[in-house]
Amino acid sequence: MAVSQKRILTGKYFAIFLAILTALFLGIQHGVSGYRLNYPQASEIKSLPGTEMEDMAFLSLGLRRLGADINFIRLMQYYGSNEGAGDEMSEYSVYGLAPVVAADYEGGKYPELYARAVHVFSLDPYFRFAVLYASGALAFNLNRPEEALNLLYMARRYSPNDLRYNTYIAAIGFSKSNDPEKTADLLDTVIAEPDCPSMVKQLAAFLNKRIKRYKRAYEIYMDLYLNSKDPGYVKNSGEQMIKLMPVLRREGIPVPPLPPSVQNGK
Amino acid sequence: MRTGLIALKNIAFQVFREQWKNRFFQLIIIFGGLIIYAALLLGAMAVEQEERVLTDFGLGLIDFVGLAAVVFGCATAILRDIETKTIYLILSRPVPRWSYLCGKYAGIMLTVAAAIAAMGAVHCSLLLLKGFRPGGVYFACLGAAWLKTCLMGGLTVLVSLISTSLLSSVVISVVFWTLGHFLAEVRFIADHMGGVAGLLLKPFLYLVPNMAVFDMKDALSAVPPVHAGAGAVLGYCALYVSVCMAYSIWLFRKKEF
Amino acid sequence: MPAAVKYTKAGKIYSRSHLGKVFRTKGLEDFTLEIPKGELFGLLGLNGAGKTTAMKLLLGLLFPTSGGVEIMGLPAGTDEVKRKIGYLPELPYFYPWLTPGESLEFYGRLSGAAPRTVKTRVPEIIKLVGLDPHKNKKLGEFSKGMLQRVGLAQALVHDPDIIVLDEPVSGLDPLAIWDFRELFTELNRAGKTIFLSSHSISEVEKICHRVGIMSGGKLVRLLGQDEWRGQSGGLEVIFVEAVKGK
Repeated sequence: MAVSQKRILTGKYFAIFLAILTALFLGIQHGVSGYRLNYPQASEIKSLPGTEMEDMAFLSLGLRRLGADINFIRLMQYYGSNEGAGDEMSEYSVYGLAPVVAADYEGGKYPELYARAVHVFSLDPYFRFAVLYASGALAFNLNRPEEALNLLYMARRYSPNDLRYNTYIAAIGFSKSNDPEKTADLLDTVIAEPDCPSMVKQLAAFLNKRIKRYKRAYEIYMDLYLNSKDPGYVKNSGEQMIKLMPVLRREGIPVPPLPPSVQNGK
Repeated sequence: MRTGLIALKNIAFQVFREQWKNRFFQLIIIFGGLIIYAALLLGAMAVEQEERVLTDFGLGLIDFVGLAAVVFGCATAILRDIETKTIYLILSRPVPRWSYLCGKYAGIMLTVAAAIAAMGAVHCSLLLLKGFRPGGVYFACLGAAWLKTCLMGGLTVLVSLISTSLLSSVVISVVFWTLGHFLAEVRFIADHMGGVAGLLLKPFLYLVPNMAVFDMKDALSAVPPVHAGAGAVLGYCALYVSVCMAYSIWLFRKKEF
Repeated sequence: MPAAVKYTKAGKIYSRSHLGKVFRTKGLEDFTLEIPKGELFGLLGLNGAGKTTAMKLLLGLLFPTSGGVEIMGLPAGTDEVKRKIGYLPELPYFYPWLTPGESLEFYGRLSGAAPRTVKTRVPEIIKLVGLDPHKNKKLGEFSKGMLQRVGLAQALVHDPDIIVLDEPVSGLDPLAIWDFRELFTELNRAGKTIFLSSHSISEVEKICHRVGIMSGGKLVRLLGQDEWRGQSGGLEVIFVEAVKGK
């Protein structure tokens, strides 16, 4: 008798094996299907107007970190752009806080900054650099401490053991209560970390300069000049060090000499 | 059994050679390599986060290219043999059907492993060129990416035996891939959904693989890092692939040519 | 001694479903045939007569819906039986980037032959089928006739007892047909059982010991050499009458 269809279809031992394997599989699937990483879920993503599809695409392809990176680049480009004068409220101020009129430090108001930062955060709440960058800009450049604190509190919920967030929160608190020395002291502990944004270091240097801690300001500018990857900050640090040199000499404060490239005006 | 394993090995190596000769496959790899270097532009825009952006972009692309290679490879593997009648020359020989199927799968997974390794080498060279040093986490991510493609390969083989066309095989596989990244949420929705839709969706979700298990990049970024553990990841992948291949073998036993 | 090939009332119904309706087509009906060891048997029939169906039942590519098929007394489709069969399908496809030797080595290994045996056998087979001048070319550069020779070579590489050939001379030029005919005769003289199907009546009547004529899935006529050699008009007249139902 040939290998008939009946015999192929029976294969009872294989059927039993399949049944056992299926039961095991369904049991494991029941347990595993609830497993998720501690990230905001799809419904918790704070998409910007027009980015909803893009965000879902990033999530559905398992590329949320890349999504956060790309949107952080956009945030930096936005913050790096010049804004015209104008008082109009942006549609981005939907997260509960109207933007406070900004200080003239960087010449603009950047009403979308907070919303963009929250967007990046919701894609990757462990993107520490982005949180520190945005909260630093909001608190110390744009005089919007409440938005900065909101961002830091959200970040701290996901990373409760990250002391940097606590330090920032404290620094902002002291800044709000007009205690620049305490603010500078706290920022000093933060800028020693390897992933501290150059912008925050520059803020710390500026603050130290304002409270006449010229040597500390010089040291931070030197660190920025030698280690920052952002050519804008490198250039500015060089210029600031040149400006500080006469002050330091006048005060009799010994500091390392200017790097040759700074002296040569490069 | 021994004959079957020898046939499996021979078929696997033949598939490996065939895939590397396939023009579409070659294009995918070359394209991936070029795009990795194109990421230099993105990295430059990221300034201080260049290392992170370059790493994320490269790993993401490797993941994506791996998916494309495995879904295309597995969806066409058996279909192509049937269309060209190559399958007659194989199954008319003392090659057990399970051996043929597993050999095809193993060959494609070997190919994808080589592709991921090649693209990983290109990516690593870029990172080293920029002065960055990928650590153990990077290679764990590459390993997890391959395991993810192994899972998708098993699923695609099964789908290709059930569906009627290449396009539907690819589409269904990609749907499973995307749903797998939202599984916890979709499950939540299904649990709160009533009616016929809920009745249909809940059992269906038991078939969808949970891709969060393989997301090493995201898992290791979390503070503190939380991941399922290498053993759990391997075990889950092995179980899912085993079930898919077992059902594939069951279906393939009945298939006539 | 059991027959090399034995069909016992074998039947095959193809089922196809479309929009909920199931369509059934008879591929083979009540097919009974015995081919003794060492015979060169030809199966003739029009397109769709059931020749390929009958052959695939031997190889486990199709499963009979009724009746039985045996090879050397063993059920068809098992691995043990497949070792004894060499099969050449109609219009086989080979990987174009391989040389004939590489292709034959692959199929030889799949046939269960030891690697050393395959390595020794492959050059012999290449010479046997007349591909020695082209052994270093890629199969992608081969003509149809040359590919058919490769097809025959892969059917022989593991030295099978039974050779099943589906339309082996289809589309070949007269010289290639002559070569094939000589080869089949030589293999049969060496003791191989050959079961071939063809449209070409003239080829079949030149070399086969017996011929079966199929029509509509049934074996309508079975005859030996003496029968068609004694007939005016030869096998062609018998074939036309059988197919027309006379």
